[in-house]
Amino acid sequence: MYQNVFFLLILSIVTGLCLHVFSSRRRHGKGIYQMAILLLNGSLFTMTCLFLLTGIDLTFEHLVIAVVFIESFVAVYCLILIGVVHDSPTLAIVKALMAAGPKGLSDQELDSFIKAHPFVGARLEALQTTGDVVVREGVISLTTRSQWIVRILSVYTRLLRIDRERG
Amino acid sequence: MTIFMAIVIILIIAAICDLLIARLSGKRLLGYMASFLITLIGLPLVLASVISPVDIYAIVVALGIALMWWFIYLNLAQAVESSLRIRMLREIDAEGGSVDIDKLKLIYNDDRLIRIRLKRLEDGGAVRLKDGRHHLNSGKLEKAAHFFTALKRLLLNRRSQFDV
Repeated sequence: MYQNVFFLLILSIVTGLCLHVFSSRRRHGKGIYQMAILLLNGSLFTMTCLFLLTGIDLTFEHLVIAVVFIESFVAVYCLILIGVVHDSPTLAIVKALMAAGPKGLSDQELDSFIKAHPFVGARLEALQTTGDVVVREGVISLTTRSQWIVRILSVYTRLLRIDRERG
Repeated sequence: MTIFMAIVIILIIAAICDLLIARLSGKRLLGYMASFLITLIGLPLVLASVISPVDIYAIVVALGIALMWWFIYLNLAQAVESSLRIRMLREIDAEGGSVDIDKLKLIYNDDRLIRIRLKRLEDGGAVRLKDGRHHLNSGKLEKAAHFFTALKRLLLNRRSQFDV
């Protein structure tokens, strides 16, 4: 029966998430993705040991399912974290409009908002940090890895007949 | 093993349906909805028919795994279609793999980026332009902004990526 796996996963996820919130706040977001992987897997390991030590029945199949579940959860959680760490331009506009309240946002205020939110620079910096582009003497180039990424994406977009949008 | 097989088969069917709907109708949202419903309804039905006796916890755990992988697929598909970083990579590729950074910044600059998105929001009715001022007109977007701001405050103790 999978009842034990279900409770093992609930306890591991709740513990892992609480520890991750605590660690992220203390470390001001430094290593936020690595800590998510470490703490959620660490929680599963600890809870599994506690279950086995207290005599709760867990088979090898149960453990495999639990590991697959936690790794899937880590992937989903990291995808959500990307949206938390990096502001989405659309949501930033929405937040600026919310902050403006009923009087709305004038074009002048919109200009100030744009100056305070260097999205393009931040994304280019992130691409350089992850090694997807290199900048040399004012020229920006793809790396071997990003060339492969773009090739794979092109197959997908051709399959779906999606036109490349700009801007 | 039965559980994994069921998850993999259902996810493959869901992804194929999404791709077919997208290719034939061009409506992405319809494809996403169909693939989500296939996963949500199809997997419990398949598992209930192959697991004997029916174990509700096994179905819940399997459904959790399948829905998480559907969410991962959705995010990857969305990133290909709308991520700013992916668009910049494809722009550089279209220029032959290298481009002058000033040329790239003519297409991808903050002013253009924000104004294109604001125009899209206005075209979709989420933002209204009245007396030269932009007003928010979408409860859904307001909720999404609240959700991500709350998570950002909880995890990073700040409201924006650009907070000093």
